[in-house]
Parts: sequence; structure tokens; C-alpha cells
Amino acid sequence: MSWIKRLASSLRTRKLEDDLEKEIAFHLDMRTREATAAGAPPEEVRRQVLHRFGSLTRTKEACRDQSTFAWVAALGQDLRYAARNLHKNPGFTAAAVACMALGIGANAAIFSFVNAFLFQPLPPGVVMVGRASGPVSYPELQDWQRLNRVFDHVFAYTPGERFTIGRGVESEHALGETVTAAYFQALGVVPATGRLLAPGDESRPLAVIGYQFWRSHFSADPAIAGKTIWINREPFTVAGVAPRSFHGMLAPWSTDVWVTPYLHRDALADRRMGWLMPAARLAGGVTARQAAAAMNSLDAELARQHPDPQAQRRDPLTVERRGGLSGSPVWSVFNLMAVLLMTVAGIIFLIACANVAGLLMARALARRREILIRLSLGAGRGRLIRQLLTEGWLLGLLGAAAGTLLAFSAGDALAGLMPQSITGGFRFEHAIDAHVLAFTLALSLFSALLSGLLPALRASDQDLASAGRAQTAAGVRTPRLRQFLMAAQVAASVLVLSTAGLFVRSFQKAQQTDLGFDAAHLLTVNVDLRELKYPPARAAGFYQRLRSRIEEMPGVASASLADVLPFGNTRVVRIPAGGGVAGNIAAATVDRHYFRAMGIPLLRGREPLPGEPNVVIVNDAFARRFWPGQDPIGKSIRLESGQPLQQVVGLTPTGKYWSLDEPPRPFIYQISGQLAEPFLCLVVRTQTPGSLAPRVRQEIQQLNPDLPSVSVQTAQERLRAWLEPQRAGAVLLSILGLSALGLAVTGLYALLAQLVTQRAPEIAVRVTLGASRASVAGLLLRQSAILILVGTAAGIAASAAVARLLASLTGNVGPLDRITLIGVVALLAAVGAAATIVPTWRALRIDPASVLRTE
Amino acid sequence: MPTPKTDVLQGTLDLLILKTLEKAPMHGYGIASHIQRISEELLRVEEGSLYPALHRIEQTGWIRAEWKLSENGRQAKFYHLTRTGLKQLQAEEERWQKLTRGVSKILRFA
Repeated sequence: MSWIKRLASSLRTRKLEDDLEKEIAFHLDMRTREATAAGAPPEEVRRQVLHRFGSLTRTKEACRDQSTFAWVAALGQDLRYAARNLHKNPGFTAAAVACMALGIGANAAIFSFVNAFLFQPLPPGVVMVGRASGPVSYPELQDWQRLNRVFDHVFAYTPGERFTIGRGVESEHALGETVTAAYFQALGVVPATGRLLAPGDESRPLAVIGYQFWRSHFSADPAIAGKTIWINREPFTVAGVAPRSFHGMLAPWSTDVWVTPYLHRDALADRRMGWLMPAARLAGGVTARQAAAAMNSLDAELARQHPDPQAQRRDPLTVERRGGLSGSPVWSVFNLMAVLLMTVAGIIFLIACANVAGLLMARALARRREILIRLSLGAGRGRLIRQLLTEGWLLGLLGAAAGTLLAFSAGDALAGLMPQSITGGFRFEHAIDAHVLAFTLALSLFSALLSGLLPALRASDQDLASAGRAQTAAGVRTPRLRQFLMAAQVAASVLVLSTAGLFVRSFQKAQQTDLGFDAAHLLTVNVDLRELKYPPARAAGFYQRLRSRIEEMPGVASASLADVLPFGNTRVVRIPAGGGVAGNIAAATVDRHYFRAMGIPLLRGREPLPGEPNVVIVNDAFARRFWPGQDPIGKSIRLESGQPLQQVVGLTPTGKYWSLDEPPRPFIYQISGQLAEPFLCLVVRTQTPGSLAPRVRQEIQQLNPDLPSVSVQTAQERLRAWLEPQRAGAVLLSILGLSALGLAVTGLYALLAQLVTQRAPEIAVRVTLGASRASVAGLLLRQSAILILVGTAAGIAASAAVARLLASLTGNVGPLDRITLIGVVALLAAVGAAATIVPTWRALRIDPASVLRTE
Repeated sequence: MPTPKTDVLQGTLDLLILKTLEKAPMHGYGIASHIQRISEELLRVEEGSLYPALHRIEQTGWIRAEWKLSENGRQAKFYHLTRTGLKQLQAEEERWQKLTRGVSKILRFA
């Protein structure tokens, strides 16, 4: 292929150069003969020949540029030259690479998480088949499998289940999916050991174990296939182990266990109960659009065969290529957070680029002479710019490499910050993969353009004649661009820091919220009898025994049972319009000890008496809504039509029930001495909740060793889980904010100091002419102050806009925080002052005469 | 650098070079002198344009270069026309004839 030959030839630079040299020498030689033959004197000959030819260098350059692959050779040359240059200026290189590493590293780290969500590697051809109204039933799925003509495989999974693995005290929770037989085959997964699922397995109790779970819970037992494990108190046979690289359809969360639909065999025959998320692998040559059309006509046909008794309209089916989680509410929370974090990281990247641009401009000044010489020797301006950009790109690449290492080591720390309430305590898979690497590479290129282009244009734009005459005028050209960069950096760091401040403050505010109960001395226990399948009478008896056993323990002040705890489950009662206002009201059923155990004060009225029927206690917001301006004590109200009237005996203050940032929520406590729900909470009042927890756990297990593991948490831990998204946001943004501040401060210092140093001759002149040192220092300080003020003002304006935007998006972010703002501005002002004063002082100490002499 | 006096029309230089090489292989200096001589000093090819043009045409494959001994016994880079170069020359010539015919018609008419 001829282009290969040409590429090869352009790499043989030495030979080409020699050829060009010889070719032109021959030409000049012929001209010389011609002129000599015409009888011109020898010195005149040489002059004539060279004059006629024009610029030798320029012609040679033009010839070199004709080669199709000239840029390859040129790039190699530029890279070598740039590397040499960077090597010669280790201080500059280190500073610039550190800036880029921080800028690119922050982006790579955040992106590695966004990437885990955005680019879930569904194998080619796998599509999600869905109905907007939700999951589909097992018989529906089987119809699809049987009747469709557009898919090779149709399979389904459940969107994340919590399985109890093992029995009794030893049991543990794991993240599971119930999957149909075609699941693994359609996703192209091969087993690490044993086998995966095959057709006909769906009615058998089989399980496939995730690789990590196999390692951590079964010590990577190679003979695991065929063994029995207990899943939700039923024996399942292990078919095999999934490969290490496969994490299931819930990525980026890693599935621990896959089971066959046998686990839900009660639901398999029900055509009306949707519980499976369907997906499929497209048959060859079928597009998603064609598949959607075919599936919708199939769906209409099925709807005719199995008419819906409630005659509800069916949502159309969609066939899309997207991740398995994109329908879940986690998705939108994460999206908002991802956008915010990527924006902040982007701003940090811009600050880093501004810093490097400043450094490059400073260096361009120092290299002015070199660039002048190269220009006057005939180097093209384009070539020169390319060379300077190559240098910037090399810096960017080094920075990207260092940044990737940074992101790699920061990745696990960041994963630790991921809120448990979002991850559900399950492992979150993230990695520096090809996408992240491509992203950092793109950033490095982008950084070269952003930070290198302007300095390169500036440096190469020199009037040869004037520059040659007035060497001393070097750099006196108004450094407006650098001043702009400085102000922009100040603005950006004010923006990032004040946004971080917003989150920190809203986190603090959330922590200090008055909850309406005493969380400091509480232990909460979730008791789950669902798997034991007790009849109600037996359950009620068990709970009563449990409560009194715990209350008798030393160190326990009181204990109480409730079906719903604050920041746990939620329940509403529908109050019919009988006595005035109707509505859905948040409610809990509790026993009569609840208020003492929770530390909820009674504003009015009394606690319920033992065995007293049909009494309720309401909160202040409830009383205001139903009986504004009246005493609620003694009023009657009907909860749910057909139920007996309930009498209000007590009034509590309005606390927080579902979330920390909710508006005052009307709440009603129904009192019952016979709580028997299969899932209840026990609250324990004690002075030492932390140290009591293991003893309470022990006591419960002694009472019934068959109970699956009970979760015993202090109320503080429970709240902490609730605060975690806010905490994670605050911590992440603070880290990013501090990085931004660090970058901006160093950049500001470097740029200001350099501007002042450049003006040393001017300062010397002023002092020589009689200006007082104080007035010169004042002049310089004033200039720095103006820059910082302009930047700060722009930054505050931008942060106010961002704060408004965030407040409208999340609702729990307050207005701009004055203390953060003042702190940031004070710090920047101090840095600005230091960066001006130190070099000014140095410049003033030098004897003006010596400065002027060096010029 | 002084601006060329009779800068040959863009694209025309290629035609002149190809035509010159149609008869026999020649080096850069020879091409320049040939054009100047045949055009009776009406056209003068600048070295600053000639050599880049030669290198560019060589990249397209219309001409190929070879080191040979010149008439005065020195090594010189001789360019010769390739088969695609010959085709290109015919096309260019035709295009040029059409262009000049058209232009002269307009000049005569107006």
C-alpha cells in the first residue's frame, strides 16, 4: 500500500533531509555556473544566486510540509523537543503536572462512578423490554418466550431482593435476583465452576452464587456445585458460580446470589401479578424498533386471549438498550448528584487549566528570546504553535497519568463515602476501565488546547523588527489576559467553595433538627417473624414476652413495641370525611409504653391506661388541622370508615417522622396492647444504648433461636444512615472545594508574584525618581485587590444563582452561607496580599541602580 | 522575501511541470530553465514555489524521483512522469485548452 510506504518514508527523516539538502545545493550550483558564465564577478554571483532563490529555510520547510505524513515526523520531533524542555525545567514541570493531576484526577475519580452507572456493559443485542406501568407476570413472560419471533432469548430478573442466607443465628442478608433459565445464556455468561441455569431449571430449587460471595462466604470451595444452601429458610442446591467479571443486572451493585423462580412458586401461576423485569436478546438482523412493534402486536393478541377483569388499559411495551437500573428512584437521585459533582469537577479542571495557562505564559516570556530566534530563522508560525501545543499536551498527558493514579487510589475511599442508604449495604462495583481512560485522555487533549492555545498564540505573535530593536520592552505588554485568568480563578473557587459550604451547612442543620423524641438514649430492634409464619395470637404472645424480658434487663429504663418507627417504614390511615376534614394521615400503632420509651413529651392529656380500648394520641400539627383553635383532648375521630370512634387522650409536639426536612406532618398514634404484625419494632430506653446492643441481641436469640438475624441499632445509627446522602455530598464537595481552593491559591500566588517581579524595572524607576516605597507597595496592592474583588463579586453572583437552582432542585439546601463566603474571601485576600507584598518587598530591597543596569 | 513577479496561476504550475517532464526526466533546475526558455522569458518559476510543488506532486504519485548523474557529471534528483501522471497531464491540458478558449472568446466578444 502506497500510504504505508509514504508513512515509512516520512519516518526516515535523516535520508529525506539529506536528499532535500543535495537537491537544493545542486540547484544553487547550476545557477552559480550560469551567472559565472554570464561574466559576473564572483561575490556578485553569490549575492545574485541567493537573492534569486529567496529564503532557503522557508523553501525547505515548505518542501518538508508537502509530505502527507509530515506531521508524524513533526510530532515525534515536537514531543522530543518538548520532553527535553520539560526535563530542563523541573520546577515548572512539577508545578504544571501537579495542577493537571489534581484537575484531571478529580474528574477521573468522579467519572469512574458516573461511568459505573451510565455505561453498564450490557452485552450487544441485549435489550430491556418494559411496560411503563411496571414489571410483568410469569405467565406473560412465558407467552412471550413461546410466541415472539424477534428475540433469540427472553429472560427476566427481579430488581434486587434481600435474601436471608443460612439459618437461625448464623443467617445473613445478601443481594439477590430471581432469574429465569435463559438469563445467563442470553447475557453470554460462562460459569467459574459448576454450571449455570438451563431450560427446565425454573421449577427446581437451584441457586447460582456470585464470585465474590463464593470467595467470602464459601472460601472459594471448588466443590460447591451440588451442595445445599438455605435461602429464605428453604434448601436450595448450588448449581455453580458466576465468573468474577459478572455482577448481574443490578450493576453497579454486585449480585450475591441468583435463584430460580422456584423461590416464588406461589406467584408463578398468577397472570395479574407483575414481579419480573423482562429483558431479551434480539434475533439477528432485528432492530429494537422492529422488536417493539412486533411485541406490541403480540401483546394486543395476548390481551384478547386473556381479557383483564378490571378492563384496565395496558401501557405499550418499549424495547430499549439501557441499563437495568434506569427505572429505579435511585437513578434520579444519583443523576442529580452526578451532574452536580461532574460540574464541580469540571470547574476544578478549568481552574487547573487556567493555572497551567498562567505558568505557560510566564514561561513563554522567559522563552521570548528563543522563540524570536526561531521565528527569524524562518520557522513558520503554525509550526511554532504546534510545537508549543505539543508541550502543553505532554504536560496534560503526564498530568492525566498522575491523575489516573490519584483517582485509582481515591476510588475505594470514595466508594466508602457512597451513602449506605443508597447502596443498601451492598457492594458497589466501580473501576478505572477503558471508558475512564478514554475520558482522561480526552481531558488531557482538551487541557492542552485550553491551557496551551492562548499562550502559544501570544508567544508566536511577535513583530520581528520591533522585538529585535527593543529587547527591554519584553513583557511590558498589558498582561490583561493573565489578569482575567486570575479573576476567573478567584470566581471559580468562590463558587465551588460556597456550594460546598451550602451542603455542609444543610448537613449540620439536618443534624441539629429537633426530632421530637430523645434519640440519644434509644436502642431500636427490628423483629421479623415473617419467615416463622406464626398465627396472630402466637405472635402477640411472643412480642409480649419479648418486651417484658427486655424491660427486666438491668440498665433498661423501659421498652415498647411499635409497628412503625420514625425514619423507618411509613403507614397512613385514611380518615373519612365524617367529622369535617378528611385526609390521609401518617400513623403508627404503638403500645402504651411508647411515649415514655421514646422520650416523647405529652403537651396535654395523659398516657393511655392498661387495656384501655379505642384511644389515640395525636400531635400538634394534627390538632391544628382537625380542630384549629380547640382543645383536642376528649375529641373523637373515626380512622377508616366502619371502625369505632377513637378518643384523643393526649397531645404531643410535632416531631419528624418520615424525613428530616419534612414540613410539620400531622401524625396519629393508635394505641394497642395486642400488637401482632409479623414485622414489629422494639424500642428500648437506656442510658447506654451502645453497650446494651449485644446483650439485647443475645437475649432475643435465647428467647427464640429460630429467629432470623435481628437488627439491633441505636437510634443514632439509624439516623446516621438517613443523614448519609447529605454527609456524603458534604464531604465530597468539601474535598473538591478544598482542591479547588488549593489550586486557585497557588495559581493566584504564582501569577501575582510573577506580575510584580516583571515590574521590577518599573519599580526601580519609580523609586529612583523619588516615589516612596509605601506608595509603590500601595499601588501594587491596589491592583491585586481590584483583581480579587472583581473575581469575588463574580463568584458570589454565580454562587447565588447556583444556590437558587439547587434549592429548587433538592428543596433542602439553604441560601448562601455568609460565614463560608467571608472565610473564602478573607483567605483569597490574604493570599493576594502575600503574593503581592513578598515580591514587592524583594523588588524594593534591591538597589534600583543594579536593576536598571541589568536592562 | 520579494513577491514573485509573474506568479504562475495556481494549479498551472503543476501543468507546466507535468508537460515539461513529458519529453524526458529532468531535475528541478532543468524544469525551471526549460519553462523560462520555452516561454521566451515570459514565465519565470520561483524556486520557493517550484520545489514544494515538485514534492507535493511526488506525493500524489504523478511523478517519481531518481538520483542520476546530470549532464555536468554531478548527482541530481531527476523527476519523471508516471503512468497516472501522464493521464493527469492529458486531463489538465484539456481543461486548460477549454479554459483559455472560453476566456479568449469572452475577451473577443466584450
